[in-house]
Amino acid sequence: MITYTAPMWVGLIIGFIIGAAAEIWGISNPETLIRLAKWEDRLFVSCIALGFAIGTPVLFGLYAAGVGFHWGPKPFYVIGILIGGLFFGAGLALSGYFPGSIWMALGEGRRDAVYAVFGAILGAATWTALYQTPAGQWLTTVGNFGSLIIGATHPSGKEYLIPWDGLTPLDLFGISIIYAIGMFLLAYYLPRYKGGVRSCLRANIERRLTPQEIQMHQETARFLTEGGLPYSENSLAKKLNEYYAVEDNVTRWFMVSVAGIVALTVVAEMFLHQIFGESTTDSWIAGHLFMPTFKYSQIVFKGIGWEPYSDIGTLMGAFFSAVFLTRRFTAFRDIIPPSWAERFGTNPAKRFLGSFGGAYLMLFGARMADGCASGHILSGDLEMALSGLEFTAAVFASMLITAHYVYKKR
Amino acid sequence: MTVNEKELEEMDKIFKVIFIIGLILEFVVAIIVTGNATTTPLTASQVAAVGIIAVILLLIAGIIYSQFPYSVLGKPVEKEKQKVEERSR
Repeated sequence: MITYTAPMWVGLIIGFIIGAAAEIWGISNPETLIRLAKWEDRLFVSCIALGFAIGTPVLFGLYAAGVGFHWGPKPFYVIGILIGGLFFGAGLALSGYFPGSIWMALGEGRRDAVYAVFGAILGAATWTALYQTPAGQWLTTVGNFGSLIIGATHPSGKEYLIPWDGLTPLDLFGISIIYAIGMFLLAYYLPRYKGGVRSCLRANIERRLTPQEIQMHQETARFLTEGGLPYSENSLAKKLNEYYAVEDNVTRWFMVSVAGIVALTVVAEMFLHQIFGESTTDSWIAGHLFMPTFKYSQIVFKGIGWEPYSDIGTLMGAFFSAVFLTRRFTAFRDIIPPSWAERFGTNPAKRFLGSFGGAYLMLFGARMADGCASGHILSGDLEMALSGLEFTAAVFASMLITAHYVYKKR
Repeated sequence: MTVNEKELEEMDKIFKVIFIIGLILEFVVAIIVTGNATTTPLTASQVAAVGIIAVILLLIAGIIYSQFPYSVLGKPVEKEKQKVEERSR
């Protein structure tokens, strides 16, 4: 079996690529994820579904061909992942951030990301304190079925899978093709905007948009660039912000290629070192700052891979993109996401509470579930991990319910 | 204090050069402090040595780009800028 382990510093490059691509998508802007939570803009769902449609068959195809990967499906402990996912979804709807997008937003110079960093570290510290109690142990041990993916079991620390009875790596590749088709159909048929009729892909193929979809494009471009830097009419930034990131008629190459880049980068990361994860760094920081002797901190210190470097790389990638490409660097101005402002007004203190409190809940949930949007959703679902699929379902249910009540017009 | 467009362009160019130097420095520092290791868990000092460069770059960018006009869709918007300033007071 062909295997390779890359040096730690390569994590900077991996994070840089993902951070830059995601910043161009607009995921570092909390309004993008608040609109996802309100189910008004499903770009994120389309992007990751397209990413899985591309990345999953590549991963399992290469594995069937004899390439070894640093597999990392998280343990499938049903109760802890369910409750963790519910906390995570609620925090996401409030803050508008994933653990990874906090680092990206810092790179974009967003002030409320600074609040979110502190909330995230405190949330991770809370789980570190809870982990060694009977409640923490119960959450992570009861109903634990081990590391499972659809069709196989992953023995801890090994670079191979044990397919379930009668299956072969080639069968797993076949399952991944079916999985990829399902993901592609989701990306193809889910309309991007609430009230819209076409997904990004369908709009591209049919070359038609409703007036409401055109209006949503303009709104999206507006909030993505609010408080950013000036750019000229013929600049790359104008194309990226006002056409590529929002207009469907060019996504034929843009969105598919970015979705593919992110997914294949995650596959490359699994070949080079480990799965892509972002929230472990918060537990690692909390452990070093406040609680070095706690049991959970000791586990994190021992098992940490290149996550702190890939997080710095994520920040730097988004920072590079915001200064050189999209010109969305906001210089830590006080910018309130429009959805938040519409519901709670423009008081910065209230936004501080939303950003800090939301990130706190999100990281508490992420550490309880042993992963976040990167470890469970991006890497886990790409590996067809059962824990990742359960976490994704819990996050989406909680996110949609929370946003429905929190952002409801009164 | 108002800064003219030419000065802003110069500051923008200078920062971009600083950014590239900082980014290269991060890679060099990361390679040196980890000894090009593949599996040893990262230590706090190894991460801090790289992370501090990112923090310094963010601080410099914050100072430089706060001089730029508040823009929406790449165009300066005075009214929105005033609103933000009022909120900050």
